[in-house]
Amino acid sequence: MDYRKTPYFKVGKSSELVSRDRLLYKCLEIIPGFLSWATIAFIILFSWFKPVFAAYFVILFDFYWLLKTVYLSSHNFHNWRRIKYNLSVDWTEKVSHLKYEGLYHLVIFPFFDESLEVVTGSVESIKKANYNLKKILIVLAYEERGGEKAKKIGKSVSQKFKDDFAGVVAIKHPQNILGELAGKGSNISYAAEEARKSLVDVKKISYENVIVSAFDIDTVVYKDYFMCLTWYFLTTENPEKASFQPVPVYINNIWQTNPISRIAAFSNTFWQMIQQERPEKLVTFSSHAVSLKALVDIGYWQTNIVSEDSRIFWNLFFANDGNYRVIPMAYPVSMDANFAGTFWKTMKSIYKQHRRWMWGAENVPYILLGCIKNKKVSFGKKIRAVLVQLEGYWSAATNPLIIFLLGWLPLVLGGKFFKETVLSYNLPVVTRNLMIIAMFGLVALAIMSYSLLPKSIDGKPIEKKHKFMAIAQWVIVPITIIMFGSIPALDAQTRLMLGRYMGFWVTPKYRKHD
Amino acid sequence: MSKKRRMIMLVILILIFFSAGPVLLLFASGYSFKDVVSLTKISILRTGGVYVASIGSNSSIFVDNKPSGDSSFLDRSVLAQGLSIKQHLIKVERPGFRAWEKKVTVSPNKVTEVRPVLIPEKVLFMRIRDGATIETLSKAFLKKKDLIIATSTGRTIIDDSKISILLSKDTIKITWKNVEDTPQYMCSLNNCEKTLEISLEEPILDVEWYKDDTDGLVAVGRNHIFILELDARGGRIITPVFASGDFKLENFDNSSLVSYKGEIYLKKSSALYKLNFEPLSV
Repeated sequence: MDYRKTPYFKVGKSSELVSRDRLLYKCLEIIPGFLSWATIAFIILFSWFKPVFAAYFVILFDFYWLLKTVYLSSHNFHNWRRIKYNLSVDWTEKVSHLKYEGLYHLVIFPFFDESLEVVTGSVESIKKANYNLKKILIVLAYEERGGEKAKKIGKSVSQKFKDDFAGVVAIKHPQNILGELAGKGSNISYAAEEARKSLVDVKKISYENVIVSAFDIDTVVYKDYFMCLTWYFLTTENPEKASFQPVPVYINNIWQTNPISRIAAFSNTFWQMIQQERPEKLVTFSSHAVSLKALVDIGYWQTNIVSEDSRIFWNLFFANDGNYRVIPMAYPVSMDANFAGTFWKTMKSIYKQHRRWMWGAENVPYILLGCIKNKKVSFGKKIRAVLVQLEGYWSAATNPLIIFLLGWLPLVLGGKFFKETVLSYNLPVVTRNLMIIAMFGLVALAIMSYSLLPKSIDGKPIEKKHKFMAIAQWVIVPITIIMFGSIPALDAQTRLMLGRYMGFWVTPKYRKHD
Repeated sequence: MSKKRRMIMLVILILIFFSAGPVLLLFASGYSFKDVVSLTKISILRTGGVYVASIGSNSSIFVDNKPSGDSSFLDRSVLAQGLSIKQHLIKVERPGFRAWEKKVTVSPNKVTEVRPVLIPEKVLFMRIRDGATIETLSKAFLKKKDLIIATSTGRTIIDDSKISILLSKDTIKITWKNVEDTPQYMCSLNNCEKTLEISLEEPILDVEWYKDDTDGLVAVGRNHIFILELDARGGRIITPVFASGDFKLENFDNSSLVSYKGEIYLKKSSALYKLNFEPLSV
């Protein structure tokens, strides 16, 4: 049976299923949170009752983490070199050997209450792109709940650029559609379908020849983004069975925000860079591209969930019985770092954004259910998909806590006689030394992040103090990795476990002169 | 990065984890390796350690007369590790203080903690003549006196949530109220003695903690003032620091001690003395 036609294909939460499937899905929703909390409970209980075993676990875990850091850092470094290379490549020349004249790019910019400046800036970057603009279709997808302001921005921006591109449309996403969750997924799905009818069908363009770039409203493309995407699309076997993932670099307003926000932003970028070097583990994230044919075949992005960017990959993965992949582009798109005007508002905003990202754990029950129900996906692919996702969300929620906080528990809870062992004296020394070695990796991260930063602020060269901060800020990683890694991940997984489902929270796009 | 290169790297790191991980655990638990160079004769030895705690900055530690570490401003304790399982002579040298040494038995995979009570090379006393200070200190002496509980077995000088000290003639009886608060030198094989008795050759009139440190006592006896170390392992160190003659007194009868703002004061009749236990260079 075609998996697309089953009730499981676009399930958002357990309550959307019936009878045994509902119970099964509920149980699957508990798994990510259960694994994380069980790990924390295991460490606390063992630190208390079996401190020697807990100390052994902590030392081995820290050693594992050090080696994992080495492994992942090498991926990060390699991807950084690929990005640097891809930014220097003459993509026009590369693409010139391919037949791409019939190919169209449809770019969707969803927005809600963002400013005219942010929307205009993003479309402006496409206008400056090195591509035949008459092969680019722009969709400004605004929310009805954004009111007159959103409508005016949509109208004004589409008017301004209407002669520049093959087509520019502003599409209003009606609010309160039954079964939809207000958010990016429902907005871009609606917009993609409307654009198909009003642009693609009207211009009689074949769906196979349309690549859809689903952007965030703050996504600014680099000059050769479309050339690079075109090259990957045309050189990939069965491109309609692949998504294309650029590297999100959060630097549009990077000098306006604070070091904590910068670290949080780059941490995410580096994680995406690492994943780019492990394509078998790569899942679409944030701004991504996919063929219109693939989208039409599955009815676009899910409209009843928060994590539509990663879920679209899993939709396509199960719709194609596991024969679907993400092609890493190793080419950046720049976006806004979190900045909400004041320090504390920004902190709150970073936390909420990371919690939303970590809410991606809602994919775990979906994947597990898909693996159970879709018999056509190979066993190996199922195992890999499940383990990679479970390990990913488990490690995001627990690893920083184990390394920087829970590792000390045997000393606190282990009791008087454990404290007299050589092991108890060596535990902090060994873990500290392993962490110091691991922290050398931060130097490499600082250098790589520096090279990706814009070298001027409003046209003026950056000052020495900014340069210094751009490097020095990395010492706060142990704090940010807990505050904006573990805690929001645990928060999201606990909500999923308890059935307290999250809605889509729009990250404020604030720039200093807003 | 090519899949092959990633795989090679992954295999190497897994091998490192499984070969170095157990070594790391053994090392952290107190095992050491002998004859590592000649791999065929390699043997694993169980060792222990000695933790020399709270010795201030710039102290040097010697184990069996070999330098084994120095304390610093940031780390005022020293851990000597990898020691064979036997009795070792631990020596502490700190500028301005008398050298301290003790024989300590090291147990396998355990750290024996010693808390040296360091005494300045020269100890001084000073008579208090300032009226206001005398008045303040007299109140402190009175307050302490009010807290002393006299029973048929003696006088309870100190009694808080963690510890009590009972004086009876020439004996000091110290009782720790919780196992968690009992110092390591009172424990062996995971059993702790909660009570300790120290006897001197002369009647003991009063005691106070030495420098707010619960590992040493200042005791005023009939003829001497002593600094006593509670730790009896390797022989208890009892150091007479003053004699009654130093104060031009026949004896210390009816004397008492009080600790006030980190300093120790002696009261004999109406005379008050400050006992200075800081090294002269400080």
